[in-house]
Amino acid sequence: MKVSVGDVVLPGDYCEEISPKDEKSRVVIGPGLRKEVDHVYITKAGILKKKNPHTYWIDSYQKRYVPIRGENVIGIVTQKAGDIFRVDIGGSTTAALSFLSFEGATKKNRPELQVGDIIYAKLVIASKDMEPELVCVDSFGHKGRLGVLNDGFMFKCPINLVRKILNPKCPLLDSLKNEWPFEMAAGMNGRIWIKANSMRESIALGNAILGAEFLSDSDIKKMCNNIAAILAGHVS
Amino acid sequence: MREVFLSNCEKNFVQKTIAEGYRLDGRNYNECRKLNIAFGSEYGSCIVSIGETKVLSQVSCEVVQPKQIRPNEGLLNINVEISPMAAPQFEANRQTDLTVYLNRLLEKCYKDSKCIDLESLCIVVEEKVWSLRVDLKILNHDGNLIECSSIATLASIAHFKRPDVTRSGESIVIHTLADMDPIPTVLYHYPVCVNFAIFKNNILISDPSYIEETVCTSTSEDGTNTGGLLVVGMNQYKEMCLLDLTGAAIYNSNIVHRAIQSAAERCKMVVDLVKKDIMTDDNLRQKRTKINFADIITTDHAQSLCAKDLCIRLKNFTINDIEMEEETDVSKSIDTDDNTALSKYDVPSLPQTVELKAKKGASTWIDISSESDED
Repeated sequence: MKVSVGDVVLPGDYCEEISPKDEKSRVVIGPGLRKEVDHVYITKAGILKKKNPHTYWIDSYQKRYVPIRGENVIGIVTQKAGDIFRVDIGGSTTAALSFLSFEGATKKNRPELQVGDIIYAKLVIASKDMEPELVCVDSFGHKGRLGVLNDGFMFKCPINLVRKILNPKCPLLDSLKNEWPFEMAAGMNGRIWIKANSMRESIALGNAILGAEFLSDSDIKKMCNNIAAILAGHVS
Repeated sequence: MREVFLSNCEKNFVQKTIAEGYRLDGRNYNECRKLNIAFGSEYGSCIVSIGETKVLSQVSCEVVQPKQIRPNEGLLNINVEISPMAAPQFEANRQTDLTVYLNRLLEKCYKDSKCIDLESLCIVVEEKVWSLRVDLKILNHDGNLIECSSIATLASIAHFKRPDVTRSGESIVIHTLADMDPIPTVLYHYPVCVNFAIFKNNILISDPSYIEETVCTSTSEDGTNTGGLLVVGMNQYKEMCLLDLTGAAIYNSNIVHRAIQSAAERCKMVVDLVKKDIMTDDNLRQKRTKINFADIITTDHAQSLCAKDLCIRLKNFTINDIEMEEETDVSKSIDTDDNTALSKYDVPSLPQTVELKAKKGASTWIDISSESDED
């Protein structure tokens, strides 16, 4: 069935707008779209979105993560094997993290990671044929914001929720950042790590994030005010 | 079964939260999630959901030869299956420890307690008896599978009606449902299994969610295991049918007494609910209304999900407060129209005037009016 940008689409539909205007322009198709012989077909149910000039993708609801190169994910260290760590990122297989992929790590100077720790890492190899690989350091060798996450709490959420709150237009983080100090790491594999000064504040933050899934922008702001009011009423 | 990994920070956080008297989803220690029983179009099929945990149960019957040692009793068979639909770590058609555990507990609770009158299932002594078979399928695993499965077994057995049988001389006629009204199963009493999580040998949590169950049976940092899961099976007359403990040993009997008292109240409430739902269902069927599982999928499910089923929630958070606050805000703005100083609960519509300050302790007033003068 023919659809246009902004419609709710089902797998099997196709869109005529997704085609190069002339020979030199490039069209970028994102998740949920696939190019067959003549048309670009839709392979996931969701909303067809467009970003100027030529980027198209499908916004869909998903809970299982498929590793994609370049994304920042939160993983749990499950095993130490030789000179790599095995990290669970929620995909079909565990990912490998070499112990040299940390800032300042050498063969004699191993990073202090225990089984059960949580790390924030970047995927450098992710394809359907190979086991994914992570690094905790950027291409200059700096740690940046990657590495071990201490204390705090981690919970799982749908992948589209992570994308929603990381969108600069979403008012959730802006509303919450004035209320109480907290730290947050969002992994694109549907895991979010939060840390606040007290346990109630952490729960309030988790509540705000999970509650924002189906709300519009104005409702999100009202919900954040609501949560801050409840928290302030009980914090001594 | 693929392994599930629990991180150290999740473990520590949940244990700290419970030690301070809160639970992740805002409930009290003895509060349970919403219980919902929905019946299908056939007799004996039902879906029971406790929060997000869902179990489907179906009772069926057939005529078989009885056992030689009990020639005048019918047979009862309970079978639990956990499919990969329940959680990603389960594999299809593979018996795991959890499956064996559930099967054994349900057998103990319903077969060994003799709650069903098996002699009423006899047709011809030593030759033909009814064999009842209860098939349970776990649809979603969000903690407390044992309680959900036991309520599903109970509801489906109580709901089930077997075909009527008449004997005339040598021949036996089994009537169809259209011919003669089917006969309900005879239950002497209604046992239900109730699940508790024990933390640090002292704290009793009823209706644990998935993460609370995993944390309390895992080992803590110093390698000791101080938690466990206690299952108490009771009927509505406060008679105990089953007691089962997984995890660490209990040091004092006080916990068991508290659990039994709490279980007695919960069992009474659950059995009353099951009986009431079965009666409602009966009335609807007599009026010939069609009943099927489509009724449990409501059109406002997306909204109801964000209101009460959040897995991390403050105790007093409800979605309805948002509409109430809107009305009070409107009345406030009429009075304080020329008040330029924003209170800390107002979100400025353009956030560029606000900056993140590293605060310790309670929030302070944010002075906006001086910055807006500079604009």
